[in-house]
Amino acid sequence: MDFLETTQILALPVALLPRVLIVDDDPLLCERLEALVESAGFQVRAVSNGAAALAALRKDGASIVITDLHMPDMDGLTLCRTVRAERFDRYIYMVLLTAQDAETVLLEGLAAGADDFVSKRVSPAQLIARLRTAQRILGLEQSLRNMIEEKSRLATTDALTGASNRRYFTRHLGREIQRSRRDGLDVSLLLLDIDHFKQINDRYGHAVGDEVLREFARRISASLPRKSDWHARLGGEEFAIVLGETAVRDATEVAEHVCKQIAGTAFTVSCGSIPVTVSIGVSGTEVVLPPSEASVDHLLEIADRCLYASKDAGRNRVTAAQRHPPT
Amino acid sequence: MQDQEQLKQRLTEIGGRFLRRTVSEMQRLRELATAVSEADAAGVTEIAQTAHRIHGGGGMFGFHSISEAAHQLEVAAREWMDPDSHERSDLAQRMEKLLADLEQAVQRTAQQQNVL
Repeated sequence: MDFLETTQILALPVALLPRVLIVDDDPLLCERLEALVESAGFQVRAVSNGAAALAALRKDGASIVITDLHMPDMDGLTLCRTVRAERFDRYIYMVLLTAQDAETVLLEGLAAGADDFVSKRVSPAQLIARLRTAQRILGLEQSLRNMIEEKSRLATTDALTGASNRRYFTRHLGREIQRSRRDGLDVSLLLLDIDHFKQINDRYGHAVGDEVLREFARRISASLPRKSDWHARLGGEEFAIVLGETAVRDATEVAEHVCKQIAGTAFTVSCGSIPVTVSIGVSGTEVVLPPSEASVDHLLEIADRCLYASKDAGRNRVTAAQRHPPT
Repeated sequence: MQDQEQLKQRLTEIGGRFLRRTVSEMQRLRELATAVSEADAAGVTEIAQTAHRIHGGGGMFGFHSISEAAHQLEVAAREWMDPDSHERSDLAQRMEKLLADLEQAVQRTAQQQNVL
């Protein structure tokens, strides 16, 4: 990711102003803080003790907590420590509010995990300014999260077709196989290879070849029967489709359907229309004996053998693995 | 600008309620004043807690003379509660004086804010 993209993501506006949770056992202090914080545009809620604060954080969440130090039952320090020990989805910015400003109290508060320490004598303007600081830091955290999410999406996506890439394929098929073993269900794998793709590239050029790959990915994506089915580009003109909870026999029907969807209508590209066909090999966990041996490599190897059987038999067809795969 | 005015009014109104509550808390503090001479630990603890609340709230609502006087009273009460305290008789006298100071601060502020 280059510098420009990074700064753009960092400049993303925070969708919502952070929610503020006020914790104080004095209802009048809560009321004053609520009025102030609300006037600065934050969403705000107040509770009267640490235990109620934790319950509110677990149930509805909040980005900023302003808590009194001394409260019956659970005090502010314990609340800070508990929030830090618990794994919340997002960082919670903790502000300790106290009548005392002794150094020892301050150090204890910061050690307990407070981000800021505010005297009860704080002016409204300073309190709001400190909340803006909290907002800025939370905004940075959010932009970092967005960036990591975007990076991980890019790392698992094929840039040309927008399909998942080989890295995603290997990781996620592995997980599906594990799950199928646990639940005693089948996973099927379709391996697809566009017929004579090299000739398309040689004849029309790579730009048209890329158009064909994109259209191919679009068509197989549209042919998947269920939302949980997924496809990936493994490299070159080779694609895969993974069908969870599907036996080889049903997967073969899907493969036949895909085969027809590709060959049925010629691909419209910038230089006109090009007939395209695909050869497919079908494997699944059920053909691996014993099933506990099933692995990504195993399924790929069987599907690959079936795919080459389709190629040898004249292309534009589907070959499904038997319980004893063809040798 | 209108919002600012509304906010100010709202804060003044909540501050007024805080003052009224403090005035009634003073009554309770006066009742507890004898606790010091009678060596009633629970009574002195309540003085310290009430003074602490008035100290924090007074500071937040901007009633600094109340906050400061309450703080002095809280410190003296906690000193009395200290098991190593050797000056309880002196403290009793001092606390009476501090209580009177706090009462004066509360009265004066309440008059200034027109809440009485």
